[in-house]
Amino acid sequence: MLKSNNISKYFFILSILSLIVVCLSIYNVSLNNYLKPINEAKGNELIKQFDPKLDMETIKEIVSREDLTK
Amino acid sequence: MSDLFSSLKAAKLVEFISKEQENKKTRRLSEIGFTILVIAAFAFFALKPTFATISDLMGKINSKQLLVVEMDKKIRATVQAQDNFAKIQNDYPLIQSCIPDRPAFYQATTQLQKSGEINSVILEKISFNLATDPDEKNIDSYHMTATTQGDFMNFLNTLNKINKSRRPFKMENFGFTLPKLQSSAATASASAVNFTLNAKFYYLEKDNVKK
Repeated sequence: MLKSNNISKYFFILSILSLIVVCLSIYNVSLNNYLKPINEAKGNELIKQFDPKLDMETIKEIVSREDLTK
Repeated sequence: MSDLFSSLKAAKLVEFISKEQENKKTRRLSEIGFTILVIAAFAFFALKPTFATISDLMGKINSKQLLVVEMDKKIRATVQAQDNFAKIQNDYPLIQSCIPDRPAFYQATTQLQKSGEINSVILEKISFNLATDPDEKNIDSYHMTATTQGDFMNFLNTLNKINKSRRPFKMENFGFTLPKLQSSAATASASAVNFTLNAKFYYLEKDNVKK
């Protein structure tokens, strides 16, 4: 009797552990599937930003300098 | 006799009930365990693919939204860059002469020669070294060495002049040495010194533009 009671306890603990493992695996797979396309989009070369501002001070400096080749 | 019999019966009954209760507890624990196992199996075979698909779709939607926002920003930046370029389009040849898209050896030589001529310095020898610098990945460069002989102050004025020229360069080093006097007659030209200038000129190859 005591033996069958122990087996049922083990079975109960095993089932709880199985449920936890399944929940964690669902969470892991879902998170991976969610983040993968976002990370791919972030690493896309097409959306790499650039600074459109021109350094006008440098251009003024170039214009003000003497061209010695003429 | 009848008391003993009834007490034995009662003890058996208590034992039976306690066993029955224990049995019931075991059965109940097994039932709960089995139910949880069924739930886990259901979650694994039914919920997992569903959640995986939903999260995949949500990730794709979010990535598309991110792409739309970032592309919108980039398009605005491109338009702004085009406007800025239109503003400086007239000055573009000047910028081109500052950092040309080819080595432009002639330009570099003329720049040095002209600045020397203004200060009565004639360059005797000009040599180029085309070895590229591995540390500079975004811009190309070459080295130029100029040597001549003349008046010390004229060289200083020449250096000052070429420092203000349009095409910038890096003056890596320059040196003055006294020429070896072969006779006492040569003391007349004692103010003449040997002059060496090492400079690095930059240019931007079209296929070398930073990506």
